[in-house]
Amino acid sequence: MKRRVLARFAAFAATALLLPGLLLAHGSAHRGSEELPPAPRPAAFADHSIYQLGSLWWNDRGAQQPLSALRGRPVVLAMLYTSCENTCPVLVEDMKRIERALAPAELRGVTFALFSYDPARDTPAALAAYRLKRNLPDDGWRLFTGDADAVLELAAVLGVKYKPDGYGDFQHSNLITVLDAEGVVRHQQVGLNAPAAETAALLHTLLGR
Amino acid sequence: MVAVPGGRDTPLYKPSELNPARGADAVGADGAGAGAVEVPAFYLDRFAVTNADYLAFVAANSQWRRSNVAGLFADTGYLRAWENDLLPGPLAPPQSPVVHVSWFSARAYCKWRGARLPTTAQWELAAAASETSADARQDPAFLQRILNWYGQPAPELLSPVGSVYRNLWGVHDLHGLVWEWVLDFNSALVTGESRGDMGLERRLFCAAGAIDAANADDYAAFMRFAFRSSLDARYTASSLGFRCALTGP
Repeated sequence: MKRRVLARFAAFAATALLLPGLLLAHGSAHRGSEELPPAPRPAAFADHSIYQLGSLWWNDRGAQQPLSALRGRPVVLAMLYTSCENTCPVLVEDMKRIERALAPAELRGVTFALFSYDPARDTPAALAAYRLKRNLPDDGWRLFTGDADAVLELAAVLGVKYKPDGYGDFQHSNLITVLDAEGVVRHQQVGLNAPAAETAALLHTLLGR
Repeated sequence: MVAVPGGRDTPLYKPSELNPARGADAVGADGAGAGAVEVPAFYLDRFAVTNADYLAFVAANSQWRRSNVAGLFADTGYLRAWENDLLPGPLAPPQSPVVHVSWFSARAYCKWRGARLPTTAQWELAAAASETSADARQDPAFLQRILNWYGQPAPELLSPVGSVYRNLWGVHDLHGLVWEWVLDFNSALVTGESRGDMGLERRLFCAAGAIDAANADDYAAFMRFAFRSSLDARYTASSLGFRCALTGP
């Protein structure tokens, strides 16, 4: 008896809510009648692809790009902020160690990406300065900054923990993540000064060597 | 929603003491406010989001139905107690809090309503209030009540929202019904975390967390901190729900 009441309630709630949706769909049918060719759509994302996030970022040239702009190549990714003096340079050196473990031909197929925690200070110009300071090659290395929500979401999906300390610094995890070409997390290198061998071996595999 | 007056939230863990200048600066005028942050007034849902509320959301947003949700956004336990995609069923009564929801799904629900999840600081500030006091974090009876709840196994059927207690601000059941997602759940860093990606090299940290907590008596706050630090954004659980908030007046 109770079950039936609940079922009825649920059915009622669902109908009541779907109704406005149906009206909307009907309304938009007018526009649909112009029969525009369907826009080309990229193939659906993998179930665990982080490119489903759809967040927008600015690179160090000031161009806005969706996260999914990285799709198509394996990505070695870390989060940091450019005014971080202690751990972040070590994290970048760890990524360079991975870079050095790859053959020149392989390097052309891999993206190294840095995402900032610090929307307030890491402007595209600050990222550009960081590129020079850390001597990050133009091809291969991409630097991104986004709004607080995009940062939160990316950190959440990577399992990165971070916390602004209120004085311009951040406490944060030290993680290097490897994404495959579809944006699925395949490996995470944990901590600083970790040997590059395991990560490099995975990249060899992803690159089909 | 109801308005929750702003206040000072003292995070459980103080910011870095690596920089002595900051350490001194961080101690508030009252001597106890190390690392305290001002939390402006905000709005908070009176009740946790119910199964009926959540049904409206999945009815309008098919990508959040159980059979459609992407693996990136929720683990396989998502809405496990529901009978099917659009029927919560007998194990998820309409007026009970929705549980088995991930951070992504909770956040999407609040966005759909034009709101967002409360921050840890907002949640803790609201939850510090008892029925009669704005800040009951030093009230042994209040703290004991929370601990007693933490000590009980979760019931198979959750009570309806509004059935536990109403605090001074008119917010119900912040303790005693379900654990609740917060926006910045992933800001809970535990020093010496077993995962090993932080803490072991404390001195190498940018703004390494100090180990000494703000209020060692508030054991319940430690438990919430530890619980949040154990969460993953895809994670769902039988006693983990949420409510929404809005930036204040």
